Amino acid sequence: MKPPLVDVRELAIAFPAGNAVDGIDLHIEQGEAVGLVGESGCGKTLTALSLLGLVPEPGRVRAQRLRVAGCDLLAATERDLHQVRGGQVAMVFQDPVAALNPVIPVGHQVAEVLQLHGGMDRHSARREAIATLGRVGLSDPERQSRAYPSELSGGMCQRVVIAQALAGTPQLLVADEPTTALDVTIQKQILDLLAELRAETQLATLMISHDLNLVASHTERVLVMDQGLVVESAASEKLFTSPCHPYTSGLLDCLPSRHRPGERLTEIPAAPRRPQQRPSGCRFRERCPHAKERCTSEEPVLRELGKGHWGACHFPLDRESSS
Amino acid sequence: MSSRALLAAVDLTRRFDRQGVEALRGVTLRVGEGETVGIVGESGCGKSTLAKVITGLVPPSTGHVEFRGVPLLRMDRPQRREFRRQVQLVFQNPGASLNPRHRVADLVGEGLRIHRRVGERALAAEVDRLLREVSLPGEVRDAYPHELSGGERQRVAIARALAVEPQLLICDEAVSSLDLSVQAQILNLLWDLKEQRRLSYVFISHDLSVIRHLSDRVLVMYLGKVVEAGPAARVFENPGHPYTRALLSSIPEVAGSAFSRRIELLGEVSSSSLSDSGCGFAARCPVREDRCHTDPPPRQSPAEGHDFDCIHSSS
Repeated sequence: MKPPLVDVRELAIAFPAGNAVDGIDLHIEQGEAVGLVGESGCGKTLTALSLLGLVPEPGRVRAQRLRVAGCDLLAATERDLHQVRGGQVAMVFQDPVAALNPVIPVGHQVAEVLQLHGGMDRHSARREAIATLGRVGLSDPERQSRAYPSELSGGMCQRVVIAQALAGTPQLLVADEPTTALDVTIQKQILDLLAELRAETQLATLMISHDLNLVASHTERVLVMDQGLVVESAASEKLFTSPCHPYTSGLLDCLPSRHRPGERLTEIPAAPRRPQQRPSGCRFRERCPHAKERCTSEEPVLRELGKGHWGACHFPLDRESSS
Repeated sequence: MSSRALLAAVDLTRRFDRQGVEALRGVTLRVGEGETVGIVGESGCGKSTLAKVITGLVPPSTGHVEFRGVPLLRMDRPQRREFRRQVQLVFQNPGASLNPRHRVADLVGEGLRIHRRVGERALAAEVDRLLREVSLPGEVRDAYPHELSGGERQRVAIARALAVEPQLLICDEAVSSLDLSVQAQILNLLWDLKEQRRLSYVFISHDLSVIRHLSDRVLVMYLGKVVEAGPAARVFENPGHPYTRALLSSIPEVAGSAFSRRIELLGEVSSSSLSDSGCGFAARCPVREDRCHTDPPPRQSPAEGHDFDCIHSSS
């Protein structure tokens, strides 16, 4: 059997204040779209950055295995990492305007990737850049390629960033909150574009977001993270209709769209703990409406509760009554 | 519908000449006592400019704003001061709207000092009471904003607004930068405050599910105009304007959406597509006709208090 494109085991990212990521497994097959969901500080962005060897100082990455597209990132030299970044793995960030260089025309910024990773000369890189900009739906790419980021709208800039990502013909696209900074109608255009590209090129996608609705409707499988751990993982629709972890169900229940207008929203009380103050046993227990004594003494481990449906909870929610 | 208008704005326009932008192009708005008016639209539709104009931070180019029947421009100084007490703003990013060098107690107490001339001892007690009201522990009074989480900061911003006992709270994307679980907490808090203090809200957001949750009435804005307005339930169940329908259909949802058929919008918001005569939305409209570019869209009123501007009928 072919090894998965992303093969991560027991990934931990340590900071002086504690482990921001605390032992997670992540597997992504070729062409698969996986979502990573959780609140600020749960470790989702760091997990993604570790796939590009970009965890910021003073973070320390430890793992049993950390392989992406055949490259062992634990043993990789800085030179290997340059190949991976923008080559096999490309990243799309939340704020496209900040991700682009403000003083270089956007066409050049795409061409640069083609020169570095595609080994093209300047002229063919330029031609190819214009073609790529056209592919991501920039109208009149010939003219727009000469524009500076400030002359384009947020949605257009995000298309440029995606063009840049595609230019290295990556196998994995990591999209960190790719549409959070964009308007709803533009958000939909960008998500549809990503879906099209995935269908066309067998590009695997790791989509990171706090927006459960968005992730579930654009990925095949979703991992829910809380305080450095994966607490639930399942096929997107399953996770949405019958979550087993109280945290997932809490996140779903606090969406206004799941309530009648004016009805009181179901709150998850308090907020996640900082790494150094995590409680014993289950980390979610202080916020959990179903916590029992066992949750204090024993930390739940991720186990398979149904086919392909994993959860880390001593008392998983009943499927039938939870939806 | 509530009877008396707390705030009324009539036919507001606002041009920013240097940028050549017409941010508001004839907006009429009425907020009744105890009423929550939701304003939705994409960036550049003028919703934040509207917030600034109705709070008197930016004067309108034409049109006027009245508070309890008194036009803003005719207010004398004491009236103006009273207006600034009664209308408070809560912004999107509490990290930016709170002075980083002030402690929470000073941030919350500042308005009290200015508007209510409370003595120092009474002030401390009042600040503690306000912090309790927004469910913050008393210890935070000595903290600086950067020591708090985003949700806590937004609670401070709300406490600061409430300190001067306003009648109307203008929330400009007040929950947009918060995590989902925190967003739910803040929305519940705003709801409780509305009930307890009989507050009116103008709630500005790009998030339709939030608007639907809180609002009695909704205004949908596009390029400086209100393209549809009406009771929230009505607008969300029977949207008349193609733009409203497109917005509703762009809410990502997995299971059983009422709008399973997605409506695609063409291109992006652009003021360059504006013509003086035709419909401002025509360039992106999926059901436009030739006359949309030249004829002004007629106002239609499918129900009491529900209006939209389009040549097509709603169904």
